[in-house]
Amino acid sequence: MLCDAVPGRVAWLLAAVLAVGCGAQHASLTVAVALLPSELPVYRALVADFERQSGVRVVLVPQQYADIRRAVAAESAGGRGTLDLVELDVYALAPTAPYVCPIDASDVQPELAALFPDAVGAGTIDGLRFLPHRLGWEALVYDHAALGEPPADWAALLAIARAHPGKVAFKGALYEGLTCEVLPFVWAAGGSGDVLDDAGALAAFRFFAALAPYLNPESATFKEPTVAEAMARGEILLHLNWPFVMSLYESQGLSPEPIRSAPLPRGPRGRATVLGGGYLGIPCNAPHRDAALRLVRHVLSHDAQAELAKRLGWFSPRRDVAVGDGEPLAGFAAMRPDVRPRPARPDYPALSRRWQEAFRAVVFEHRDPDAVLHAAARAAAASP
Amino acid sequence: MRRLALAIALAVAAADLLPLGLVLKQAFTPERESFAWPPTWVPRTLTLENVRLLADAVDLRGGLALSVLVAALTVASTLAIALPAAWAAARRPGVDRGLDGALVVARVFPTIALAIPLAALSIRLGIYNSPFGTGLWLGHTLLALPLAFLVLRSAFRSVPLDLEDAARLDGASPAAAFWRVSLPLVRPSIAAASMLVFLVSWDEFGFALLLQVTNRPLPPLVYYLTAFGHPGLASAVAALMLVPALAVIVVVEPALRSGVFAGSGR
Amino acid sequence: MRALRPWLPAAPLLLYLAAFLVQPTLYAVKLSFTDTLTGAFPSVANFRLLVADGLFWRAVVGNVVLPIAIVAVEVAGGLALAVVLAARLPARRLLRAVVMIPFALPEVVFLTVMRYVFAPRGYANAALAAAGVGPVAWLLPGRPLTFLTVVAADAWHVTPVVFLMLLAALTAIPEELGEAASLDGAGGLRRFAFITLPLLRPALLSAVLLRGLDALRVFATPLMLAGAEGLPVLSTYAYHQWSDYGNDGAAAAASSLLALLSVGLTLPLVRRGTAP
Repeated sequence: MLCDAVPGRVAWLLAAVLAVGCGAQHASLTVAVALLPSELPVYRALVADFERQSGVRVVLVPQQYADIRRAVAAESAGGRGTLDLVELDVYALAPTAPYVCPIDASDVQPELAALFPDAVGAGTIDGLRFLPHRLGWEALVYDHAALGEPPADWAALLAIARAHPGKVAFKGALYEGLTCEVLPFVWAAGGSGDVLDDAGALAAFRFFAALAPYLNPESATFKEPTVAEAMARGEILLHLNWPFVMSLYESQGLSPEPIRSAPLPRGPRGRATVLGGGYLGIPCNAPHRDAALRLVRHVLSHDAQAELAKRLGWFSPRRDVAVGDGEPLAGFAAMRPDVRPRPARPDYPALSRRWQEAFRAVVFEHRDPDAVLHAAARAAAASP
Repeated sequence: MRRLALAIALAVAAADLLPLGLVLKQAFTPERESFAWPPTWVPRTLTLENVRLLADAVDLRGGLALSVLVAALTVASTLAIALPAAWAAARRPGVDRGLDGALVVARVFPTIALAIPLAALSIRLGIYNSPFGTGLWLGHTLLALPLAFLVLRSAFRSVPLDLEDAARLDGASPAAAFWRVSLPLVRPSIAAASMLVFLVSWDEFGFALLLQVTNRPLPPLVYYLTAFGHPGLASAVAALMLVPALAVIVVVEPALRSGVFAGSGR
Repeated sequence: MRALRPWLPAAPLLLYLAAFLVQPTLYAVKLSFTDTLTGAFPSVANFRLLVADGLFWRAVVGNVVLPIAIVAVEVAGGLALAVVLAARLPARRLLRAVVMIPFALPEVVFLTVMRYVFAPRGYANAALAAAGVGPVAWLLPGRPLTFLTVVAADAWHVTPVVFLMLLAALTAIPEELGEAASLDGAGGLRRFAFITLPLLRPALLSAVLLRGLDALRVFATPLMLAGAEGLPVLSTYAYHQWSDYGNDGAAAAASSLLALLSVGLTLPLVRRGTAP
């Protein structure tokens, strides 16, 4: 790190302190991870093991995924980096890929071999750039005290929405998170997810249209944190979200009573949910690449992953670590067999956007689902 | 008439104390209470658990020190740059127009659009993620300059020209006339400007989020806690942030009173 | 060289702006003409994307109407406060300090509290419920009330700045004329309108210019209270493009258009503001 001296008498004094500060920063890894405040102590303990074994100091920086992505982009624009290892969410992988350099598979063996292949596949963009850190998928989050049993199928979900108007919400803002709510319904109706107007898609969107009048109107701007907050305040009784909310509700004393998780309701052709989660990557201009690789191997080792699964309820990307059976995450755990990755195609961002716009047209502008989907499919076919 | 003014003042004061009251309430009550319905106006249980949990979650001491340092440096640099410029603008319409135009340009881009190129620039200068917040200091000065300039220029415009001319006639140089005559007369505005600049730097988090990764001042820490759904912890840090901010207001406020110069020019 | 001497004291300011503003501005402009997908430069792909997006046009309209409302409320409010608190009231010093408090709160915290105040199950509706009135939907996406709520929240937070600027100018008015600032006795209002206001004109124009420029690039308030889809303005639209779609070019394009809009709307003010 460049130790600048700023002109001025006081600054020379500060420079001396700075020199001491600079020295203390040698051989230290800077790792940006999206950890909740309640998860930090456990993760720190894990990292402390690594520090003892390797003699390398690790500085953990908890930040939101969006801010981590911004930091990586900013550092790459400048040509020199501070971050050695970053965690990004699955839908930021493609835009961040240019700033993260591929990892040699042999550098992360035998851990790599123990990971789920489809999870590893999602991190392979022009080479192995990202390794799954923790897996996630969406499940139903509901108020047990108010609703009793969770809806087992679409008809039950519609009945709940009718009985409690305005208390069911979707994450309906214009972003990737909306696609993560649309695809499970499309798949559960037998749709492929690739085709905008196949039979499954039409069935799913007709269901959305039936649900629309009873949805909470703030769904038009809800994202993960805001919908979670609305539920914490009791403004909604049911929504879809990722495992982190259960950890959040637990720390706020709202789970397991009254908020619990449940599998998504069954559609005409079964149940499905979208694969997501956090992925680790090493920025191209990371100052301590080798040490970062060693830390990655430590974090992905069996003992570390088992610890994270047990203490934090994380779903491990390792095949040999059992899914935790804690009460708040029971609904999520039950959906493990139903997890599917999103369509892997180069034009996925454009496809995703069409799904989002179609959902919003049907649910918030009350347009006819069939017409909207056919129009979207025609537009998709027409564009290059 | 005076009673009406008092009533208005009290109503406004009550409205202004409400957000503060809510922050303090959320800081010292368990988080569960923050989500209760109907919401409690008076806390049901007072607790220090949010403060205790903070130690594990964020680097509070480092953040506080960095925030204080950057804010103080920003006030110094902003005043040093803005005072002469505001004086010149108040005296010459030509300079005034030019500076107004320049400052408009300085404010037209949203902070987010400036943040990434500024981060890249600070990396090239070697001040990225500095433990002394050097990049932040420079960025905050940029943000605060237009505000300080406008406040100080209004003040200089209100100071009659003939005071300085009298000093010049007595043989003082323009710089001395500025330093010894005009400057003391705008002390209340300097106080007001310092306070505003301090608060701008103290509360700013867009640049702080991007220009500092590991050595973070307090606002990104508050943001992190709020974004991850911990109103109690975030409010506790916010309550801590209020102490210097309120201290600055209290210290600087008397200077605002001495803004009346009866007969100074006659 | 003689002609440049008046500019000398302003040199540090200009140099500072040149050093730390020019490069980021050029970078933002260059980015807006770079196609994010292919990296091609120059390219108008970003602008084409913006023009085709309904949300973008809503953001343009929002970005004109919202700042006007915000500035009007804040300058009027700040002026009223300055006049009221310039008078010799009991505990005047305490009241002035209290008025500054909302501005002393960090924006993130203030906006989170505002979210809790205006939430469907928030403090505002709780107060209304206690009075027997039904809950009000303060921040529903796309509604006029949402607009007013956002203006009110921003005014709540920032009026202290305007108040401070105007108070400083008001108290700088010499004592003999200062009598006009106190609100006692009939004729006070006329004295205020014909003596005080004209003297405050430079400060008022400064306040309008300052708040106007800030209100044009208002960002955190509409974003945190209503979301980018709920009350779109250009800065939140740019953020939405950047954060939700990773489209740096479109974000820079929207920011550049905001810059153009800001310059266009404030240039007349700059000209008028410098009249003696």
